[in-house]
Amino acid sequence: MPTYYHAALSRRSFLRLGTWGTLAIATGAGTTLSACSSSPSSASKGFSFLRDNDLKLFSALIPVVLSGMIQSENHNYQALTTNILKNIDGACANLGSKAQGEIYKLLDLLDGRITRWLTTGVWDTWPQATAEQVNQFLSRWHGSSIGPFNAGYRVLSKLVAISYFSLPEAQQHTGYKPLATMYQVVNS
Amino acid sequence: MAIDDIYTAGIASGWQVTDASTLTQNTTLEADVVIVGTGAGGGTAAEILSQAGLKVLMIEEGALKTSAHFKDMDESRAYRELYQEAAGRATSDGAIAILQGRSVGGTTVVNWTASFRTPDETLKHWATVHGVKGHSPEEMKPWFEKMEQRLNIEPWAMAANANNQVLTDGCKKLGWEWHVIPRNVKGCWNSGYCGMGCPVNAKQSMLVSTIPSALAQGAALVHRLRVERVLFTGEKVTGLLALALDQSTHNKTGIEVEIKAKHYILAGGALNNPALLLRSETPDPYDRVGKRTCIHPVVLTLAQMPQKIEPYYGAPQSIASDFFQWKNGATGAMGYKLEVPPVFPAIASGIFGTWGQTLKEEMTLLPHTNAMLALMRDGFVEDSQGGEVSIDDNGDPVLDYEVTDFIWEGAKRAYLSMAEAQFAAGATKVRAAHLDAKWASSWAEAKAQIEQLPYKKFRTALFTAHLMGGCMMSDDETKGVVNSQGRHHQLKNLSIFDGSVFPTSLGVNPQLSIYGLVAQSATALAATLKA
Repeated sequence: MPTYYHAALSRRSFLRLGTWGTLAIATGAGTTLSACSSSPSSASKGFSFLRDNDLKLFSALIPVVLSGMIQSENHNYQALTTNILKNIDGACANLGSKAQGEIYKLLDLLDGRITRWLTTGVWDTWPQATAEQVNQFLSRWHGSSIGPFNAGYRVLSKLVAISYFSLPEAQQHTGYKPLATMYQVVNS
Repeated sequence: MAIDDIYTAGIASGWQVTDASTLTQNTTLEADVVIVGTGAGGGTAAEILSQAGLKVLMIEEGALKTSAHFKDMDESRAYRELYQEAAGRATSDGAIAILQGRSVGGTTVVNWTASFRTPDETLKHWATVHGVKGHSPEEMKPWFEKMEQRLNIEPWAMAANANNQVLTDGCKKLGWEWHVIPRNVKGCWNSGYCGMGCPVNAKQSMLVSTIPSALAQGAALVHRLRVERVLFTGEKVTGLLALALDQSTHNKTGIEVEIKAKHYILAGGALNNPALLLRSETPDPYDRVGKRTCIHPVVLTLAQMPQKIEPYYGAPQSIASDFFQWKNGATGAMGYKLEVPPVFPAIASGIFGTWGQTLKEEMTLLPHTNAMLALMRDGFVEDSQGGEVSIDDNGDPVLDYEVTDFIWEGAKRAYLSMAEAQFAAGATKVRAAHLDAKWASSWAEAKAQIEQLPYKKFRTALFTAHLMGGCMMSDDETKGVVNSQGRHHQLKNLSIFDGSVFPTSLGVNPQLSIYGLVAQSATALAATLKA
C-alpha cells in the first residue's frame, strides 16, 4: 500500500468516514432552508450547507461525472451547474447531524492541500485541476482497496449524478417523463 | 380533474388537525390514548381505538402532505418531503442506504404496496425461539383477513408491467415458484408513482384510510411535532414532552407541548422507538432496547433487455418469487425473496454507481433496463442477529449494522439467482450493482464473475427499506422490551405497536404484518381500557 494512504488513514477521523457511502439517495431541489438554524454560518451565500471551497470541488466534479451529458460551451451551462449545486446542497442540508459532520470531514480532507494531495493525487486547487486529474481521482477512489475511499467515491459521484438526474434537463438522456396520461389529468 | 385531497374537506368539517409549526405558545394536550407515529402501526391503532370510543391523539414528527402535494409526480420532491433525512438515511458506517417514510401516514405513503401476510415459518419461529405467544398462523389469520378487507388488499389483477414480467418469465423458464403480489389499492391507475405519494389516493395508505377514519370519529392529529422524552414515575408513564418543528420539520421552534394520557403507544418504527426510549432513559433492566434491529438487506442486479421495459411506469411490484426463501428451512443458509423495484432516473443514476461515459451509456439504456432485488431474511440464526440502535449527541437514532459472512454468502447466491433469472428471461446483458461488476453477456460469464466479486461494504451496493425489531416482543422479560401483546414489561401504561416489536425480519415486505399484529393488539388494548 502506498505510504500516502497510510498518512491519510492515520487521521482517525478519516477512518470513521463511512457515512459518505450510500447516503444521499435523494436531492433537496428547491428546499426552503433559509431558516435552517443548523446551517453553518460559513455556508456560501445562497446555500445552506456547502461552503465556498465545497462549491469549487463540486464544480470540478460536475463536468467529469456528467461527461458527455452536459456541455460547458452550452449557453445555459452556468445555470444548469448552479441547479445541480443547489440540489447537492439541499441533499446535504437534509441529512442528520452525524452524517453532516462526516460529509464536512470529507470535504475538509479534499480542501486541505496536503490531505488532498495525499488522498487524491491532486496538488492544485479544484478550479485549477484538469478534467483528467479529476477523472484519475475518481478512478483511484473507485478502485481503492480501502473502504472509506470507496465510500467517498460513492457519495461524491452519487451526489452529482442524482442531483443532475433529478432535473428535467436530464430527461433528454433517458427519455423518461412523468407519465403523461396521469400527469395531465391530475394537473388539469 | 381535481383529485380530492381528503383533508381539505375533512378539516373544514371539523377534523382536529394541528400543524405544530404554527403554535406560538407552550401548551398541554390530553387524551385517553396518545399514539406517537402515524405509519402502519399508529394508523391502524388510531382507527381501532377511536372506533372503540376512546379519545385518541396522534402525534407525527413529519408533515401532513396529501395528494395535492403529489401531483408534480417528481422524484426529488418526494425524497425531500416524504422520507427520513430526505432519503439520505443510512446505517452508521454508511454502507446500507435506508429508505424510510416520514410524514403523516409514515412509510405507507411511499411504499410500493406489496402486502403479504407474515409467513407461517416466521410466526412459528417466533413462538419457538423468542417466547412469543398468541400469534400463531391460526391466531393471526382473522386479523390479516380483517386488514386485507379494510385496505382492499388483493393480488394484482392487471398484467404485470414489463419490469415485473421479467421476473415471471425468468421463473417460468427455470421452473421456479413465483406469485402475484397482493396490493393495497383501490381504483389504481397502474402508473408507478407509489413511491412518491399516490397522486390519486388509490393506494390505501394510512394517510387516506385509517387516519381520516380516526379523525372523523373525533381523534386529533398534531403533525410537525417531535416527541423528545417519555416521562415516567415508577411503573407508570406520566406524560410525554414534545417539541414543535418548523415548516421544514428539521428545526425546533422552541415551543414545548406536554401530552397527558391514560395510555401511551409508541409507533415510530424500528429506529425512532428505541431512540425515544434511550433518550428518555426508561427502565431497561436487561439491556434490550435497540437490540436485534433487523433489516432485509437488499442487493440488486441490473439487466439490459431487448424489449422496452420503462422500469418506472406501472404498478411497481406485482410479482415475487419465494423459490429461495425457505429452501434451507427457517434457520439454514440465508433465505431471500426475489422482487423487482421501480427504477426512476435519479435513483437509477445512484444504483449504477458509475460516472462519465459509462454512466451516460447506462442511463441512455434505462428504458430497456430491468432491475431485480433480493430481500434477505435477517435475524433467524446466530450469525445474523440484526444491528443495534443507539443515539447520537442530539438523541437521534444511529443504526450500527455489521454485514456478516452469513449475509455476504446470501448476497452472492442472490446475485447468482437474479442473474440466472434475468438471462432466462431474455436479457442481453446483466451486471450486479457492485463497484467491480462488469456487464456480462451470458449466464456463464455472469456466474463466473459473481463468484469472483469481493463481498465488502461499499463495493457492494446495499439497501434496505424494511426496518424491524429494536423493541422486540417476548413474554420473557429478559429477552423482550414488550410482551406478546406489545405491552412494555416495566412501564404498565405503555405499549409499542409497530414493526419494532418483531423479533426477526419477516421474509416479506412488512406492511400487512404490522397491520395484522397491531389490529389484534389494539383491539385487545381497547377492551382492557374500556373495561
